[in-house]
Amino acid sequence: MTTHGAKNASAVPVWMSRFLGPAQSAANCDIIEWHGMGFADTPASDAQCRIMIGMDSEAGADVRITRAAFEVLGPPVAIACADWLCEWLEHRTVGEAGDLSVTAIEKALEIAPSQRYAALLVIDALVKALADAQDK
Amino acid sequence: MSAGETLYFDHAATTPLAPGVLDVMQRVLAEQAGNPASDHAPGRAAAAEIDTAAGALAALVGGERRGVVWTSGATESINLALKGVAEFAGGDVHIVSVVTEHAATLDTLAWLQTQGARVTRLEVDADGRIDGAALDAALQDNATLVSIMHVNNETGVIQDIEAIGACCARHHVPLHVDAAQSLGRCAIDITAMNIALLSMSAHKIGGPKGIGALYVRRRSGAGRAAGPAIGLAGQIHGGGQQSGFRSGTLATHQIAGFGAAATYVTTNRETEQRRLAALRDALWRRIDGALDGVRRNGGAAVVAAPWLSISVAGVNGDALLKGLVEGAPALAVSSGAACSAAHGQSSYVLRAMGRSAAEAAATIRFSLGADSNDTRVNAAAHRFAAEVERLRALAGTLVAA
Amino acid sequence: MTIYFDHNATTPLHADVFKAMTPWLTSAHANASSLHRGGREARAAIETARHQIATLVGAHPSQLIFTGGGTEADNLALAGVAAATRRPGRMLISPIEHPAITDTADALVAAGWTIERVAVDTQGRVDIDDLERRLGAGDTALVSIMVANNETGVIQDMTAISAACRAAGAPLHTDAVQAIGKHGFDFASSGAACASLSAHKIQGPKGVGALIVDRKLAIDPIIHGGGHEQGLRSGSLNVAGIVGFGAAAERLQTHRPAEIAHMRDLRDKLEVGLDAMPGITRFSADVERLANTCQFSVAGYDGEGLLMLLDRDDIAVSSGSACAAGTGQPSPVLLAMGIDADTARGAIRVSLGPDNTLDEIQRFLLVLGRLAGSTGGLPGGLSASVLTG
Repeated sequence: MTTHGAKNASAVPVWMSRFLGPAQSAANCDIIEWHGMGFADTPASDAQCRIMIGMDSEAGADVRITRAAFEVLGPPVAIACADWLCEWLEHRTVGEAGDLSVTAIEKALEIAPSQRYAALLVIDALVKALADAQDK
Repeated sequence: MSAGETLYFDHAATTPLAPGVLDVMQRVLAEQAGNPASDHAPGRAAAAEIDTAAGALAALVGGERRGVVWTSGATESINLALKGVAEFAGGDVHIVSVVTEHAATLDTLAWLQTQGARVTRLEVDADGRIDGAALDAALQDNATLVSIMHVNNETGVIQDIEAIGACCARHHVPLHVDAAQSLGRCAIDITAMNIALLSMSAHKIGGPKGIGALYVRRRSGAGRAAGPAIGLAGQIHGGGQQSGFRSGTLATHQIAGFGAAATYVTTNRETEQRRLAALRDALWRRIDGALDGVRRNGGAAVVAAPWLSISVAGVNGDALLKGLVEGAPALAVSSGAACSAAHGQSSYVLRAMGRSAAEAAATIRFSLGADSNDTRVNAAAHRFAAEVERLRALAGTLVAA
Repeated sequence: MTIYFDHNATTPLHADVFKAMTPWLTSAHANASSLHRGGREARAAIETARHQIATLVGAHPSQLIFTGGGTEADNLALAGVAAATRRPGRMLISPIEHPAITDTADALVAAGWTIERVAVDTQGRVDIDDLERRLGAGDTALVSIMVANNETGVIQDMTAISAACRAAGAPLHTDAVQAIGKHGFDFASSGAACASLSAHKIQGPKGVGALIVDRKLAIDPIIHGGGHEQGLRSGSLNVAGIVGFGAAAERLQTHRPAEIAHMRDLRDKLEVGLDAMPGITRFSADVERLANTCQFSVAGYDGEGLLMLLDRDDIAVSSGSACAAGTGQPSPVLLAMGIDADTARGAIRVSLGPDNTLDEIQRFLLVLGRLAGSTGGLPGGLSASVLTG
């Protein structure tokens, strides 16, 4: 029996497991002091996100992110994006982190156009976290 | 997915077939395959099955066989009731209904407005009930029909149909009751309640999907005041079956299944609803005991036995629902009506009861049924509490104080 | 054991179809609109069925709207197109359409629409010249002409009909309910803007049908509430019924050629037998018909009366369509073909199925021969004494 069209109508998104079992939440994390924290929200989608980053030194673009964690109050896709982002951030330089695009997240998690806001949300929070780390 | 893996608490969305129903359907499919409108032996045998089923439904609502008009489901029944009365009445049509009705009613009323009908939508209080005085006032204004759902699909709130029916009778306005969620759960007596039209759904009472009925009051009953026959114009034409109220080949196996489910539920209704009420209350106590920031929707005294609607603070509604239904063990529940879920509509029912948008968005509906028991209720409560805590932890400092 | 010769009225559910339906009547009982896993699985099953049916009829799955049956699909086509227009206009139908079309058309007349019936010849074929003339006379909101007629089995020249409609810019609806199982239908090449289907005519379950709709057609729903089926047909989906419809379509795809050949063979043998009897008039005898259908009258017999006599001999046929049974009126289809009322009133229809046998045909001819032979040239109006005999 064929199952054409079944994929579109009913598939579980590839990011569901991240939502069900995220590894990078702040709740999971022992760190209390972070080098940078950034908050963003998308009220229309009832989504809020805070990204926290820890670094290995405080000088220039070669600084590497050692640890990242998130807090999200929002829909599943937002939690999934935040979790993916924090995992991706580990060992990246600040420069690389700043260059991360929405498209990269969309591709990695196969996000539908209607859920794009979640990728924008976490990047927005990341940019603020990086700026916060710079200021310190 | 085997039955053991999912905790099914979504009986308001649909129910599994009641015991014996599948056997009846199978027998009819195999042995009564004729077209019930045909004038030969196979046709007459099929027609006899349908007559039996009509009797079962009529008994369940205190009506007569010939009042039962078969449709493809409650949605179609509601369309037939509203459009059929409007068309028959002609002229200045004024329909009185409620803001918390099912989409089948609201969308049909919206369409009737484009055709020139006037619609009054009564508000509800914090408990989800309409005000009798407001109904009375609305009926002063030349009403053609009143249309009210007996039990709300999202919250389980029960409207006082007896009082509403009496009010309609005083004003000589016919009453249509959407009984899709109340049939087999609440007692229904169309004569005592002054009901002229009653919409029914099979798959909410252990019958198959794709079949429903509209009870149409055909003539004054003897004895207690019943009311005049309701004038109704058929909406699906072609062949004149069912006295012209609804044309099309009758699906014998579906109707037989509906009848078998009606018979089953007639015997068990009261004891089953008491059992479910006790389980539902236990479910609430466990959840309320395990979590802060949870609130029950609909006054406990006026919510039908199977329903528990809970609004949860500090979580995103979509995340809560997905976490419950996609995680393990899967807890099959609903947020908002099954019908509107796919379209992302927020719960207008809860907003109408005075809940904030945030509360309305983070609401889960448990609806119990035949397979609900202590073990499953405990597991469901545990799972629900665990998921709420998980999501609140993920939100960390973002959760409003 | 009844000989069932009434497959155009309905067909028995195929065992394979019931097998496909069973899981959706037992453990997999979720509402297809629900967001949990069960709902997802139900949705997937529905999309599979949609694809199976679309494949059978040469349509794209997104063109398929599930309804509660063929009658509802016909209603949706006419009333839905009417609802989408700003003001009542004109529709053309054939005079031999199913009551689901003609009765809906009558209801539209009551709402201010003009419905014209295109001429048909003595065989029941639409007069293309008349169609073109009427199309040329003004705007036409919809033309509705069935591919194959349920009573006589006559098959229309859909190529010529759709060409005429296209030339005039008039959308074409066709009731393909009878054609699918006994002839074939390809929506993509039909030129139709919408087409009606029914499951229980192809060994699927009763209570489920479909309207195939081209995206370009302006059409509104006639059942509101929740916006299912792309807003064109609201209401919780009959998962098991739809799965059954899909299974019936897939089965038919494989077996249709052999089934048509078998039915045609039996039907042709039946007609040889009929033609050898006195007083038999066959309708639409000279044109292409559905492979399984033979409608005829027996001189001196009232159709209803003959039906009852055959019924007593355990043979199930029909006089005209099932819908009109017991009304005592001559078939409008035959009247439109110019058949006189008395002859028309005498019509009975044999519609075979793939499970019928030559043995059954022979038994039927024997019984009929006995009955037809016994009239021996007696005048019409014999029916009363025949019935009490």
